[in-house]
Amino acid sequence: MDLTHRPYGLLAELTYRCPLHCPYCSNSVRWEKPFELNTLEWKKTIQEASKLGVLQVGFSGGEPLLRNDLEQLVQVAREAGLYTNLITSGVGLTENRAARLLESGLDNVQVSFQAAEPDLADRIAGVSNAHKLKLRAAEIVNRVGLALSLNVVLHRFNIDSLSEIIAFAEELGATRLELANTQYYGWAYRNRSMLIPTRAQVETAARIASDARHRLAGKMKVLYVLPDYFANRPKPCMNGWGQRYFTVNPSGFVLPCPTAWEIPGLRFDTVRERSLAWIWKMSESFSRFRGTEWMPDPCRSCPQKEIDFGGCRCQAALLTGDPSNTDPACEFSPHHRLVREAVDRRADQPAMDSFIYRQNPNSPAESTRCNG
Amino acid sequence: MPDLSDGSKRLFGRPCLAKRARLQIDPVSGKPVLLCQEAVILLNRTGYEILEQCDGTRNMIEIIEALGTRYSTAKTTLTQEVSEYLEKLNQRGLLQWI
Repeated sequence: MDLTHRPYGLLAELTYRCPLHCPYCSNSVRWEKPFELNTLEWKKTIQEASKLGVLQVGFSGGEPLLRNDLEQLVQVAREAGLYTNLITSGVGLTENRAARLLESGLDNVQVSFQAAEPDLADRIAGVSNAHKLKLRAAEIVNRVGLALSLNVVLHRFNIDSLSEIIAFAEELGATRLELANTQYYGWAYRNRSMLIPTRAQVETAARIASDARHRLAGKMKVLYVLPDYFANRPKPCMNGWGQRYFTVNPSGFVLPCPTAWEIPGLRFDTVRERSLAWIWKMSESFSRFRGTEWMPDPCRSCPQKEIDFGGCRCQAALLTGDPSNTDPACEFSPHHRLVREAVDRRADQPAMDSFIYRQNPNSPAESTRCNG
Repeated sequence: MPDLSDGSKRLFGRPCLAKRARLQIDPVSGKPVLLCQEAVILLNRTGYEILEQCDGTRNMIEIIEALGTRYSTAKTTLTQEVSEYLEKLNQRGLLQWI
């Protein structure tokens, strides 16, 4: 197979169940009751992914630790030669479990933190005591000898304490810190007017992150994900549709990007009915926005089209109603004002108690309130 | 600039791939790759042969000694090139000296 046209990364969303209720979760707000893939189905999926060229797998969710077959799946991935990363809230990680995961061949653990300050962190997560459990998880990861990386989603309520967050990650002994500005899909889109920071906040944060990246080079890798709402050009989403990555969701649907489920009118295939190779190469969903042929203007005639691939299909669908439009984050999009207006019209005095908190599938409540 | 202790580490320490990095042969292409959470780094043969030595058991002199038997490059040039290569990987958080 051509090296340039094979997938490199698989995001395995093992479950949508999660102990946290973060109001910026990118999980779908439209999920149907998931009928989770069983152990055998996941093993087969991982092996097929490896044959297709995948070299990295991220075990994610929801909270992947809620699957008691996680160790088996890590082992299968490792035996197939994949780099294995656990993307976790940390809640529920015991020393015993961490040791078993290490033994199964896990390469890296990424723990999410909501803030450096415990009360704020728990209010964002919508769960009391979550921060303390995460701290314990990070210590366990270090103690058993696994590589620790941290992920913090940035928004209006925590972006001003970025220096504290960086110092916190250093103290915890993280080898990598990902500072990801909120992407407005899923639950984050619902809470957008409260989460969106000011331009001044974003600019200050970018400076602090850049200083830290230089200062800590060789000790802790600092990655700052720019917020596309404040940029003039869109992000090269997924490095192009169906080019490098795919996601398998808890029910086995294969998606070109984790949030593609939200795109109306696109039909997805599941590993229960088709082989991964067929889905990657032949399916309508993966072919739909692959390459540049599908592009309308202004993308079609744009010299940047091989650089940013027209931006994000999910964002185009969410904001303009049509996934084949140019991403409105681009200044050349006829819909660019939608992004500008979202920044200008953010809530004046947002209060965390009006967040719409993420709920678990099948949860009867319309929104889960913070009990912290 | 690295401080003195960093400098001496580079001279006398033993380079070792970071815990979060893994050296691997890509089963599809048969070519060597360095894997980490955020990247797949395609390596050439020389890169692979250098990193194979970086398991924390050999210092720089021993690594150059081992590579010197395979390459006709002058030892000073080889030392400089290997140092620069390892330094770049260290900046990306993929290698350290122990």
